[in-house]
Amino acid sequence: MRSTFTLWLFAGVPTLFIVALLLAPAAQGVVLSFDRGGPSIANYAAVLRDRLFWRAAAGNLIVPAGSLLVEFAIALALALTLNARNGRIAAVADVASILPFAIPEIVLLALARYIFMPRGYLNGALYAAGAAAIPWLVPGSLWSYATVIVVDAWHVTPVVMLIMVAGLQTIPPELYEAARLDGAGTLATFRYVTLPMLAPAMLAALVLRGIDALRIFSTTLVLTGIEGVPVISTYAYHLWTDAQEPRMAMAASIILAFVIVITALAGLIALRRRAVLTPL
Amino acid sequence: MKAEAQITAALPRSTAARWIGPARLAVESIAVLGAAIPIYLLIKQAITPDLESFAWPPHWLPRNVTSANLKSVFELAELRSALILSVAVAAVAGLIATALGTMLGYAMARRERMRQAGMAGVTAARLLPMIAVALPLTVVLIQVGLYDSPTGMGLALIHAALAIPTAALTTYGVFAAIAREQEEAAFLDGASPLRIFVAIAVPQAKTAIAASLVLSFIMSWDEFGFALLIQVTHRTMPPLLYYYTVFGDVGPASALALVMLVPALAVIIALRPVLKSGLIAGTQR
Amino acid sequence: MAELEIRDLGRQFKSGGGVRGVSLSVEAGELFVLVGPSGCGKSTLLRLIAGLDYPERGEIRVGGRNCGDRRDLIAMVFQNHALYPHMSAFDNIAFPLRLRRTPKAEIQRRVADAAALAALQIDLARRPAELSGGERQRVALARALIREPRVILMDEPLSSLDAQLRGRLRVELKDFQRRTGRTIIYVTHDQLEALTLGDRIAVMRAGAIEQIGTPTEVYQRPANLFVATFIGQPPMNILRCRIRPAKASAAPPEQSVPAEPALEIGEKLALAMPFGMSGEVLLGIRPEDLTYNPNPDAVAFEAGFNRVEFVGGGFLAYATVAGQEITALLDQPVEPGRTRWLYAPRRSLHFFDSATHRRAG
Repeated sequence: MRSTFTLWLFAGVPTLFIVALLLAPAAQGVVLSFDRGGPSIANYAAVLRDRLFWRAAAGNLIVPAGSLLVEFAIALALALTLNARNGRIAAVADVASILPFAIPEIVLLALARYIFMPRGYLNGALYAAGAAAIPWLVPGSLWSYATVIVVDAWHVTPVVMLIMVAGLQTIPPELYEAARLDGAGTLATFRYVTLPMLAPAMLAALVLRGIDALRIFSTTLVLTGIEGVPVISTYAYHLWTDAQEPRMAMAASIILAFVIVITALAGLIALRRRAVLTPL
Repeated sequence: MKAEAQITAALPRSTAARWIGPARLAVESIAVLGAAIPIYLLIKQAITPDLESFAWPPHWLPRNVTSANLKSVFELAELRSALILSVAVAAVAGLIATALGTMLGYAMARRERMRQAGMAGVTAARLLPMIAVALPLTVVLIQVGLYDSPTGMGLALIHAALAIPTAALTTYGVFAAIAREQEEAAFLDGASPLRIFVAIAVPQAKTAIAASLVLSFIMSWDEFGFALLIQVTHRTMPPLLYYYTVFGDVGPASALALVMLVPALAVIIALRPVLKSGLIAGTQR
Repeated sequence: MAELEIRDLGRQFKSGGGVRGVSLSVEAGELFVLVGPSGCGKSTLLRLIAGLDYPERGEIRVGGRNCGDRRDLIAMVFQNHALYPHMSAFDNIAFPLRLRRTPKAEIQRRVADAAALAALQIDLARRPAELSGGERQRVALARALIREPRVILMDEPLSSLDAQLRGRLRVELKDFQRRTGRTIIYVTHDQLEALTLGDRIAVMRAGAIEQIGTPTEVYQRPANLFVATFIGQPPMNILRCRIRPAKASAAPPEQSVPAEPALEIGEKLALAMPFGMSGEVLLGIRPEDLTYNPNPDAVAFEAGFNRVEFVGGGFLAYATVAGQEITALLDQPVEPGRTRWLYAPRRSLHFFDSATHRRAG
């Protein structure tokens, strides 16, 4: 059966499409980032001299790390809970737990602004409880970092949770029964059965989400603006739009791309080349 | 079963076990509140006048109900054209991504080498931060006249490219599950490779292809970053919502957000089984 | 002229496997079975004939013609029938005609004819998932028939079914072949299926054909040790023996076929060895040829019984003869631990060369 030509066509056309629209521009970005009326590293030098870049780099480390921590903790709790429950409660919680992800990111962020703004719903609730208002979004404050982290985690926790539920479902029930008959308590079962069996799924989720987390852009842009909680993506956006420094903007974004590729490679090697692709 | 129940009952319950019930309830409450609060507040703001949304202390329940905000989405030129543009962009992106993604998924399911190459390519495409693609892409789109196009086709193309991996991975599993022998039978029956794809493979993957279509539609519908950078004057809904939110029109912004929210929610909830099985397939290879 | 003629066909896979230098010819109207253990190349051969794979050397002629695309001459029934699950039985059968843009009325007529030939008596609007195993097979047969191929290939069409249904469908297939008079090439790993179904069978191993013949020929005169042990269940016993050169014919007490550790044989040497070989040979005896009954024309073995299983039609006894394991299918049980004499008619003995494993005499 000679269908190889058709199959190459089927694989080739979409690949070319992706290369033309995603990879080729990125490659051109690399070229442009080294151009300043001739080949030069001046763009990079300018970026590296900029104090805002270093704040953005720090933000690009703190926010993803915090977000991953929060979303993994909540996702694990949710996954364990949902996996153990049956019936109506489970059905409601099941749908509810995926909803934040179903809400378009920009919609959730718009709402988060109304919730966290100085006279927003959260401070309103604190006021009703007789507590002092908290400056959730004051630029550069610790609170603003915390807020950004929570909102970012809020949106993507469902994805992490779904991966973990998938992982939990591969654990054969006999293992739990065996552990129980061996006299293992709830904590021991979790420590010696659930966690080791779940580790591959968690690692996969970590690589997948870690890459996404490093690309953070909208959350900080919408909640705090560019200088509130700067990250590299918004910093590059700022250079592009406000500062009118397109070549510097490209240099900054290439630095970010480089960091992500290195991280991803490290993650993929850690996964021993297990595929970590999901439809989302 | 009975004996098993007795064994279970006979085992001592640890202290940790006693906390499990309340802990589960707490976790479930967080999940339900995390989903319900934003949706409730959004609806509340969308159906009340602006002034009420800015009240201090905030109103928890709507007092004056109005349909003005929602009407404005369809009546204000700026909002209406953003809605139309968003639908057009998402439809074109969804169709292209589904067509190309289905082809790629099929090739990946039929040749191991193409599967590996496809996975590598898709991974590479997914690694790049939006900003690193969008900035140089803007330069290209300006050259070909698709930057900030009133028809949004430049954005549609990039959204399609972003969604191809999703469509490919969604259909790949179904194609891989079709017995090779069916296609060989069709070949011997006299069918060409293209005919085999159209008459044998595609009909069996109908559900997955439909899922890819709505999923890639919604991915485009939701996408904010590229839309912000490419459609700077002919805006689609996400960047428009961004400007409305940042510059303060609570009512129309909430109504716009609600219009964006409804199809997205419907699709994701309806596709939960697909998403779950896709995630399983994606993490366990 | 043969309906299908294969000459020196070769196709090697990187992973090993494949076929090397296969030649055979199949007559019109014949049911020809390719049988062998898994990995022997029988499916590869079938796929080469079908045109699903391409040979590196050799040629395949159908009806005397050597053409690259044989799809019009050949139809195939697959292991799990490979029915299109999204199409009704009718559409499954009609698919080849639709591809050829046959007029509607003709499709109707020919589907009805093919269904009748395949003894398919169901509502053709039903989908494969709603059909029983037997009905699916008949749909697959009808789909193969509709194009009026010269040769129908069948790749273990029964192997995924349960034993009872298999037996019934085997009968049905044989009927089908008689009724339609089609040339059929049938692949199976099941030697019993090969024996019961085939007009002729080809036994394959490691990519080559070991023997071609009618079922009785292959069973009664296996060409080599492999065929001898592969065909027949329980498999043929093989005993290492030494044949002493014939002494003077007038030596009545002389043992005729003494095995390495001596075997008792109740016969004269000159009679047992008409082919005049000597030294190491391999002696083959089918378990069902061994009895308790002394027979003037039989060889005798003193067997120490280890174990006996009741297998319905008789007793399968595991015994040791001069230190070598054998099995015997007996009509009477025997107590394990006992020693008894077993006899096999002289004409039922098979001899194989100990070096080449080929049949000797």
